[in-house]
Amino acid sequence: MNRSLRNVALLSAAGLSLVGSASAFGKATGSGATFPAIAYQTWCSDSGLCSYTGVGSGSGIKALAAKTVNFAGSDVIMTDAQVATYGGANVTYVPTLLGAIAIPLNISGVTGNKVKFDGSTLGDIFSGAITAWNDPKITKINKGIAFPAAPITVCVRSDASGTSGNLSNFLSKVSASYKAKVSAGGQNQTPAWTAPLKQSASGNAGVANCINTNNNSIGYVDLGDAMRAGLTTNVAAIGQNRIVKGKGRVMQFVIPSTKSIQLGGTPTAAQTAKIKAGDLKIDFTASPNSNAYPITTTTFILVRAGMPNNGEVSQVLSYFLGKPAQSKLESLGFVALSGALRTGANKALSNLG
Amino acid sequence: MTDPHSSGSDEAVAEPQLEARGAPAQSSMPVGNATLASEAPATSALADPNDPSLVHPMRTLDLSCYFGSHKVVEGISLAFPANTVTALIGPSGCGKSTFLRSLNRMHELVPGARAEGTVLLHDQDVYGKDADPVAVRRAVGMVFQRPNPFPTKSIADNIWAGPKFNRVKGGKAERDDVVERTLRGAGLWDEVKNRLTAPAGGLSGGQQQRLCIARALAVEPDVLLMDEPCSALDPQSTLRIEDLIRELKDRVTVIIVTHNMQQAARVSDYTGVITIENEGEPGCLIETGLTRDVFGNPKHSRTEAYVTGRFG
Amino acid sequence: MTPPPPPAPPDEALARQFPSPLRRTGSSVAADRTYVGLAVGAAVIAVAFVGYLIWNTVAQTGEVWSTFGVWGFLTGEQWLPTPVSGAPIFGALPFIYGTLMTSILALMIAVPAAIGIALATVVLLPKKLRGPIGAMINLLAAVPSVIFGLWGLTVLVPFLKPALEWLSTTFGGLSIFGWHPFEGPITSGSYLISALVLAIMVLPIITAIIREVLLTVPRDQQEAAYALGATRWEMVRNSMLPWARSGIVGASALGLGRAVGETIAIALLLGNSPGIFTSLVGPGSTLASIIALQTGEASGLQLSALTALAVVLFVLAFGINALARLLVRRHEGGAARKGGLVSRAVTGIVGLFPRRAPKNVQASPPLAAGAPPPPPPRREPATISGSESLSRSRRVRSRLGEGVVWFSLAFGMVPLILVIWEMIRVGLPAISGSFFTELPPTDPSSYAGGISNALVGTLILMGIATLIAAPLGILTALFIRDVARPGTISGKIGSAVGFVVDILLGVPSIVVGLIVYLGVVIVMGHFSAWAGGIALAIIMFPVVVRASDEVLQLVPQAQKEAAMALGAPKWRTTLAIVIPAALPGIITGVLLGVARASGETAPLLFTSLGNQFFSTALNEPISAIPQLIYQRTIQVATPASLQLAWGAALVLVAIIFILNIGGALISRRSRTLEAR
Repeated sequence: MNRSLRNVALLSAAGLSLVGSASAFGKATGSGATFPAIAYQTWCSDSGLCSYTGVGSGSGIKALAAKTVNFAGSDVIMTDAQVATYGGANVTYVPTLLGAIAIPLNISGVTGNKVKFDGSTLGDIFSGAITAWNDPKITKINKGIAFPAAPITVCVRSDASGTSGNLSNFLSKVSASYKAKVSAGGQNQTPAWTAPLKQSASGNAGVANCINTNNNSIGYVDLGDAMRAGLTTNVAAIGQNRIVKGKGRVMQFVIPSTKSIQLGGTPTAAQTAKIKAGDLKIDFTASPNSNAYPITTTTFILVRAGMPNNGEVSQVLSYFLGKPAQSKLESLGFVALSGALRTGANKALSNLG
Repeated sequence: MTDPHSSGSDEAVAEPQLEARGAPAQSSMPVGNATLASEAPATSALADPNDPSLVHPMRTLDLSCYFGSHKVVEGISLAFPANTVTALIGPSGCGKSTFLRSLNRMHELVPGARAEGTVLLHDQDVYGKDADPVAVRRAVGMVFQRPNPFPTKSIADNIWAGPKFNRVKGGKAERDDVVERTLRGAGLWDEVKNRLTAPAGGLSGGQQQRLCIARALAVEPDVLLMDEPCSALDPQSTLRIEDLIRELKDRVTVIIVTHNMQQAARVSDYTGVITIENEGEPGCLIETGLTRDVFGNPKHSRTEAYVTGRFG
Repeated sequence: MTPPPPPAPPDEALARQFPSPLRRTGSSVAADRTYVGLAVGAAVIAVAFVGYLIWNTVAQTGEVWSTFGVWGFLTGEQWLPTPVSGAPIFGALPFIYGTLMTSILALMIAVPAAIGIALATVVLLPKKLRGPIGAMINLLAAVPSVIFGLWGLTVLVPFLKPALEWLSTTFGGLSIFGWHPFEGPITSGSYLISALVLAIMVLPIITAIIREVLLTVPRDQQEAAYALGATRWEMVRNSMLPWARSGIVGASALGLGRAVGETIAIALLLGNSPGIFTSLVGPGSTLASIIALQTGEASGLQLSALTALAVVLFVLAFGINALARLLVRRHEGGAARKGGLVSRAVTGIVGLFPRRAPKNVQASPPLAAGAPPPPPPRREPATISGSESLSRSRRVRSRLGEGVVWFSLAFGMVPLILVIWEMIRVGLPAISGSFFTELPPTDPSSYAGGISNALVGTLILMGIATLIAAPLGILTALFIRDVARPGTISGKIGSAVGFVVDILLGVPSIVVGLIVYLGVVIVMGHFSAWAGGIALAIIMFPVVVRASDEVLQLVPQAQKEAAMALGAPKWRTTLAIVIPAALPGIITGVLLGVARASGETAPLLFTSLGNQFFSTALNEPISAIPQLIYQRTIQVATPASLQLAWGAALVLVAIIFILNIGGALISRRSRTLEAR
């Protein structure tokens, strides 16, 4: 019996020796936003320069504050409380790609990307001011579509998320009822949704699954995840700007596409000036360009000044911003940076090293 | 729980004299009922086991045993002469087993159990401040009611268990020697010598009990306590054990608790009778003396009633 | 008369042995002290560490109580981390409601089914089938929560949606004091489907206890009914069920304690929409699921509020478990071993170390006070002897009763078969050599790749947990059973430690995850394999203690006495007699603990976190199979990622089944050895 005890001890010792061997030596590690995670992970494994874990923007910001990672991914600008956790350390925001939040639909008898919403209507749906699909406000914009007289199931994120933050930011700009009932503004990662019939699910795919499995539902999903979940055949076109047509001005409705996202991610004159001044924290939602997709977003890598591994991080970033990496984005459901933003990102990068 | 009662007036216990370690005295006590004690080895015993002229490897002074606050044995003082067999008899629940178990401090292993008084092993108090129960049990061996060999250990390993527990460092030769010697001593050698490595669980009940006796002897105790060692055995095995007990007293002082009058009469030199008066009262020693006297010429009426089977 | 051999001259005879020193060598005493010290130390360290974690957790909640007040928080109906205007508002009521509603609905399904299955496996099934079918029901308990969630989401929800729609159209107008339980519209996440899955999950533990209780029904009680001319069903109805009543109530309470802490399946299936008296075909939210979903990103007052929810959940589970123990213990007959049945059921060791029914159970009913006396047999008019002695209604009733039992047996068996079938149908094609050597694909629509990181991660996490929990657990059990002496201070400490262990057995695993997050992750500053391992160790520890304690009690006292009487010191008795006799049982207990912990997702969510890459670094986040399944299910629900999830589920269930079966075999082998 002593022998068998000894065997147990030996076995456990053998198990232990497995542990604690290889770590990611000489590689930059990052964690944070899940929205760009698939792009970062693809790039990391292509280049062999880094590893990235998608844990949510907030956790990434926390991890960088605790110096347990070399860089953080975040869809949102840090709140004052988060800035405070850095104890005054300077944090550089480097945008890496453009993306969009799609509004997938699952309505009985309605297919194709033909449903149209303006910002106010969309806000009403998420705030609960509109609760049924045959609401006059919806049918008025969508003449010719037979909406069922059914309540609207609203699929939202149950976890705190940059995607929620960006959508909420957009809706609070364009919908009075949303601004009054759900979120007063800014990138609110946990909006207090007030739609009466809502379902929460974790992660983009959770929401995608919610839309897929609930009839007469609507939700919001990052374009890439919507693509992978097969939801891009039924997304809403969003109207933000009116154009002159014939006698009057009519609302221009836009669905997310490479082109419309690219336009959405083109900085305005004021934004260009901001970028030139070195501030890359640009909010692209509700672009004034009538052909731009209005819920276009960007995402950042956060680098903390004065960290010993910043040389490696800068190497990583120059790969991320380089042509081979950026050209892969489209297949993943994102759009490459271009123009002033790309120039600004490269400039920020050169200041890092 | 046992519930005895004292009948103190009849306690035939002399004041033990601690300094007594004199020459063995020959006695000319009247021989009692010869038929009853016919098998009892008529040692050169004094009628009174407490006689100071005898050597007493073990004796108790006013030993009481408790379970929690419940007293089950009342102040027994009794001496056990060297190289004799003393039987403790009495009705069920009189506390005789408890008394026996308190002689090597096994009693206190039961939660809440304790003993008060003195147990002298030679002249050292078993319950003394510096006495270690583990050392006490090494010097005072015990054989239990049911044979309890270590069933998965081999026969030889069972014998060697005690020396091993006590960190006796012996080579194979010494080990083999101890095994053979004690098995021979227990009259088991011829039966098991060809299967010393077989698990002890495979032996018959009687063989198991003799193995337990051998195992106890391997530690070379001064005193061997036997708690109804034959009650779980068939008559054949019982006889063999009884023969063995009579042989054992050349080597150790034996104290045996038994329910079986004939057995007490057959194997013991001295007998102590423990009874309870009423339910709920502790057991106490009412009579002690040479076995043939106790059986043949009991001084106490309750003893007489008990040994003649009228109660108990 | 033969002359007696003269007594040996005392001086000579006793020279060898006299005086026998009644003292031991210092080293022997030191070894005893070391053993006792180790056992006490292990128990104290374990309890102190858990105590620290709990204290640290409760300390975090201060802000909530001071902001909202205890009553205000408990009855608060809103949970608004970021309201449109004003300060955040946190209230626990919707989550308490959701927790109780799902759990009670689950019990309403599970208890009748459990009674049926227990009856089937105790009396109604042919003897040969009873064991295997009982074992299959026990296997249900081994299927991890996340797999039920995955199954529920991908199989059950689409399948049952028409049923919910029917309910909603048929009973939509039904109103109970203004509450419309079936009012449409229906959503994919719903109380009813969550409760159904929850019922399947708590079924095995309830069944196990009821089974044990039914097995204690004295034979003469059964025979009395038969002798009066009862059919088999009437015997069950009149003899067995009344006898087992308080045991059944206790088992149900224990199932309730389990159900309130269930996390991952609910997080996947309930729709996560807090609300009070909302429709049962619509979504809700529970304490455990909101903690799981929001803790990772929360800070400040929100984290404090989530922690307070964990405290509420802990108190709820503790209260229910205490009640359950009380009820089952009362059934066991008060003096019977403390909570043994409950602990055995919770640790999954029911049936592994069968105990012979104590004699007094046969002799007298164990229900002292408040026990229902066996009702007098129902009176039937005397009928003529012969084949027509049973009235038609009696026959029908008996058939019906047995029919219900068969139905509930099916209810227990079908989900197990369906889950395994789905695992094989979808998961098996995913498994190949590369499944064990490659990383999960970054592209969720790719069918390539494997789960190497999660497999190694699970092994590492289990290794850490076992290395912590097994020695501490075994030593703690030795302390409780072998070192502590009843009636002394050590005995009191021993029962206190046992009490803490029993509490730990009932702590929902999500709460364990949260307290480790607060006490280890936040203190260390980052997620790590260590934190995950510690969380799993806290889950394993009470299982190991209780299983070891159980077998330590079975080591025959006579064996211990034999060794003690030979002068063996305590530590030697333990090492040479107690541990070898108990070792198979202890190994079984450790295996069960490993099996239980290896399927856990909830405690890993914010401790070891997960990692897309291959990592063996203990200081960094690490992947684990249950977590991989969870992430693949909720985050990238493409057919390819679901296939990976089902493949991983197959591997995980295979590991757990092997551990369970291995444990059962070891304990059985040791039993046959003993019997020889």
